[in-house]
Amino acid sequence: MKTLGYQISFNAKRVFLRNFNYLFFTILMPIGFYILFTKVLISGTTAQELVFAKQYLGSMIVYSVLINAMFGLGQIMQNDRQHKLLSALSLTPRGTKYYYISIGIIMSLVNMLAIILMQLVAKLTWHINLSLGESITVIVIAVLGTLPIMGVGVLSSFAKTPQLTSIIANLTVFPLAVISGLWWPISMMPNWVQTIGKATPTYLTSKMINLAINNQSLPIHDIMGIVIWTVIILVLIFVLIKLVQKSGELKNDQGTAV
Amino acid sequence: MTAAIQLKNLSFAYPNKRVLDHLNLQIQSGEIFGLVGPNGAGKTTLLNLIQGILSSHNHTITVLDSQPGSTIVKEKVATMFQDDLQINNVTVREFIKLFAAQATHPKNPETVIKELGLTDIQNQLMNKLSGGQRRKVSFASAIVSNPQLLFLDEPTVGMDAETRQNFWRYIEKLRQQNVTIVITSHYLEEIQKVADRIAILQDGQFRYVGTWQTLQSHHDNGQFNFNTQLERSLFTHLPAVESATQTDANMTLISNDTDLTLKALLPFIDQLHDITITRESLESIFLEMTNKGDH
Repeated sequence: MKTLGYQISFNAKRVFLRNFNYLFFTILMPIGFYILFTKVLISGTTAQELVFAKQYLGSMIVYSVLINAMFGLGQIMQNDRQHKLLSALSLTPRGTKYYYISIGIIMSLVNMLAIILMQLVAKLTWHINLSLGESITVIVIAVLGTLPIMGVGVLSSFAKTPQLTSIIANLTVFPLAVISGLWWPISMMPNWVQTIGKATPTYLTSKMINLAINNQSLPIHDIMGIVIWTVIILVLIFVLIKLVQKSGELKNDQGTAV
Repeated sequence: MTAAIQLKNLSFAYPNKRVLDHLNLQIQSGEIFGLVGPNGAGKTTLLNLIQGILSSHNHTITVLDSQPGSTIVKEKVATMFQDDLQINNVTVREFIKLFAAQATHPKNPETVIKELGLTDIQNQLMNKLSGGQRRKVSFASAIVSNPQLLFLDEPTVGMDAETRQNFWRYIEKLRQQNVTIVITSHYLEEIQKVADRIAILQDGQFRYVGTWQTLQSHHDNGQFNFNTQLERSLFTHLPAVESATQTDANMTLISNDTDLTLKALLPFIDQLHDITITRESLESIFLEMTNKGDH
């Protein structure tokens, strides 16, 4: 526990508390987008605007987690692998186990903080008052619903260079945000794009958050969609770890003892 | 004395190249062992195998009576890597404490910081340090785990003269604590001073394993320098003298057997002043040996 405690404190300071860029892109930028799109670039009756502000709250919560997964988690892990921190830890008796657990905990806490702050901004700007139960439900849906997205972040960290991880992040975040209706309503997209978009974990999570905000029950097929995505991504991570271990051996010791 | 590291007939090959070829070696507990060799000799591969970073599969390596990479070995072994870890937004103190937290029986990080003279920079961010400071921090992060066996890969690169001196002083302290230390370095004069034994690795084979003194006795070249009023021709035909150079009163003799030449100089000793005898350094012996291997 002492090792885990220290790892959490060590990683929290370098990843979050002393890293303004990370704080900006993960938390402040989605909040800025929310204010911009619901207060500045909006037209319609007050009732219509309120409906949009509620809907957009879910979108920006998911967008914040998406950014955290791809530009936060993926790049931090890639960087640590690149700079041999993981190699150095793997040679110690406690290994890398606590590193991974602590990064997982910190990412979840950052996600929760982003969600709470987003709810607070919605309350201050649009008087969207969620009860404690609703607020917690939104947090739970957002954290669990975006597990596959966090998994994609982990997958991107296996790229060979930081540049490649960055390219993967850019090619994932922005198309995914557009086709799953996080920036603009999905109904504005062509039918075929909507079909793809509605199958993405980002759309499913954003939809469930909106249902929770509006006190509606969650459809079982949407929950199942998230479960299926999570399983798929976990299997991919498992396969990739095995492949990396194998190719790592090939790269480092293509040879054998003879 | 027990063996800290034992290699028995260790070979290792990449698909197109054999890197290590039937190596046998015992490094005793508490010994300081210098591993030298030209680039590409197989030093890094050997160290990676001993540490368990690479797998030897067939039990040809024993480290502290266990297999490389086992938890027991990880508890007792630490490494100062050639490349320093570059972790942003972390202070020196936090970095050293991380490795203490990862260890089973660590030293007190505060003590290590103090002993290595890192107190002044302990709150500085790692990414703001100079190359020499980063080496010191890497060393601190290795020894904070309180290892019985320590690998030092090019430990003094980038360190200034004073830091280097303090570093070797600390190594002597670890020797007194019976820590086994394996050092690879391109600064051969440092290895010559500190190592109990050395191994010269070339093309995957040990060309020499033993003490520096024994190696030097097999390479008895040396240089005599003195002031004299005697004629140069008197020295050119002395036993083992290869050349004699005179500049005013200063004479320099190159000998291929310093003991023999010294005996021959004794009859003239009253007329020789300010005599210095320089025997061949590890570096020149190393270059001689490894260049021979090239041809």
